[in-house]
Amino acid sequence: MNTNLKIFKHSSFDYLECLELQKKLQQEVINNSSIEHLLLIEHLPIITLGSSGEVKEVFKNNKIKVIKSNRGGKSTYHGPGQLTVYPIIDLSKRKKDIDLYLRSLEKVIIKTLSDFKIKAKTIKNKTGIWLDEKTKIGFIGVRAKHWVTMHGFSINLTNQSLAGFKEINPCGFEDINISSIENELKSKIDQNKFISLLISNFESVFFNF
Amino acid sequence: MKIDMLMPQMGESITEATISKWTKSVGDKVAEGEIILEISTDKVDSEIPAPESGVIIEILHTQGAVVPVKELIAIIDTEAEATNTSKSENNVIDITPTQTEKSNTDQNNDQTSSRYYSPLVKSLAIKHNISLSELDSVPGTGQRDRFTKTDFLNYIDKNNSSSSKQSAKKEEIKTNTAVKSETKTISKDSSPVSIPKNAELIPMSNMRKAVAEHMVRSKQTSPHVYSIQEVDVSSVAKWRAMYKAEFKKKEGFNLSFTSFFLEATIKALTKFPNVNASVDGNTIIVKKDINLGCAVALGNTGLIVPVIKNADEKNLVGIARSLYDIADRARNKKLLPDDVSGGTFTVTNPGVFGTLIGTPIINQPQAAILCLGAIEKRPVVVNDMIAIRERCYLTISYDHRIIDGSLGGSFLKYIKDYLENWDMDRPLY
Repeated sequence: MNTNLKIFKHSSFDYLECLELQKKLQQEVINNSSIEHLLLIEHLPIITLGSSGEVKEVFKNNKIKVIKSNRGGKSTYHGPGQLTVYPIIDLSKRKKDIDLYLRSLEKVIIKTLSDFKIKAKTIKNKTGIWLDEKTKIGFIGVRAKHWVTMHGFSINLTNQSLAGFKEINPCGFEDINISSIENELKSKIDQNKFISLLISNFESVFFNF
Repeated sequence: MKIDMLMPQMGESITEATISKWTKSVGDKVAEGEIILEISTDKVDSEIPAPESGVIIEILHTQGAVVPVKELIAIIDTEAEATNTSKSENNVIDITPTQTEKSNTDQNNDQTSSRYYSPLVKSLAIKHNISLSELDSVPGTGQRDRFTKTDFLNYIDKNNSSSSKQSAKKEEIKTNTAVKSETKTISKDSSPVSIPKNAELIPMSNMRKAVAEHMVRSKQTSPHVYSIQEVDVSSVAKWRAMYKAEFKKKEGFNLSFTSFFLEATIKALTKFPNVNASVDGNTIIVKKDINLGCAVALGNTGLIVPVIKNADEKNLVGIARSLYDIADRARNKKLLPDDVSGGTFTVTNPGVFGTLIGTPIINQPQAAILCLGAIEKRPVVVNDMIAIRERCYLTISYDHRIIDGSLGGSFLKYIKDYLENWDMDRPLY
């Protein structure tokens, strides 16, 4: 039974507005970690550069808004057709290990994709979710303060999410392919069911159930 | 005294990190717990606090440097005076109270004290409306007796515990006088208990810890009120007896009394949707789905509340099937995480253990819980004559922040009327 996790869902959510919400919630969890948060968002189109991202990763004739974000990682795209998930949880209640947190997030994503018959994996030294050595479907970038997390991960649900990636070298890679669940299954999935299973898998991994 | 600040190890397998940005400079005065630098490891940026209060007298690695963990990165002099008043320029969050917290600040909140408190502790004090002078007498357990965040949370927890004992002494059941809707902090470290010589120490299982924390938090969150009504289930019992054998033959398990109570509850939740709700600050969230949690005891291990999702879409037989399924899987530890999440209302049945009347604790973040007492044959007055009827007590515990006595009572009466007016001509299937 997990009743400490508040779920927040929002579609067409402006990235910067969402960032302010995350900061507020992160501070709330720092002050009182008996309630934690899981934000499930679909953003308006935006390209974000993480702390190690560089403008050169964005192509010159790009028409999508670009901002510098305060998460780890390089460049990525968020937009319609992509589910972006922001866990705001206190790692000091579990294990103070950022790397373990990333691996656990990967576990949640891979399990959920597996529930939809998609076989995904991790590649050593290339954090994220891969379908093969060159095809990526899930992206991770995190920030932590007093061991409380913000930012998180994104998964491409539909082919609509793929267009934005054509404007960047995602995660700094020049020669990778980006895929989506729809692309892999050749059909759209029930997104509510996907979200429901993702939440269950997240609770299972992070709430010891 | 000079304190070495080392590159922190953010994980067992992390051997180095990049200094993304110093948010303080040499000569700046910093407080313990104040963020003074940001570091990057693979895909993660972390804000790192100062280990001690003092003045930064040396920074050994500049922005962009890749530094092995546990290597010296800065030195802080705890006794030096600041020579720098530069403000930090960064996009990190500062830890002063938000506007919401400031508006809750009592005018008498005194933030002056001769003792040192970190900005984090000061922020918590404002949020919980506690003066720093009140904390002066509370011992600190941090380095060199510093008063830490954990000390603060323990202090809050002890104060909450002693005030709840005082209200338990009152004879009548009263609503909690708390007016704040935010959830209070549950400290992981409870007050030490003296252990007698003749005692067995049993470590709590994870489930027991979860149940314990949940129950304490629920009581601290919701002002509980209880309404009790007695229900005549003689008609239900008679109808059930008529179809008991047919049901068992067809379904392979018994048609439980609980199924009838669940159906009545679903009808009541449809009629009174504001009971199927949660509280979020000053907002009442009325849930459109009726996901009925059914508490299942697991012996000494604890209890669990699997959920029948969209219970309003099921008829009596469907409810009975779902109830049997989740109870069976609960006892055989075959529940999935999805089975125990998303509940909007809970029913608990201590009547199976002979309990006549229960006063259960609300299953947060729900607003109410229904308790079924034991069904007994009792002599009652019917049409001015003594009759033997099968009756039980139903209790509804509800959150007085959003459910008043009239709503709680009306909800319970609806269930009573539904069961007492059971249609004897209703078919099983």
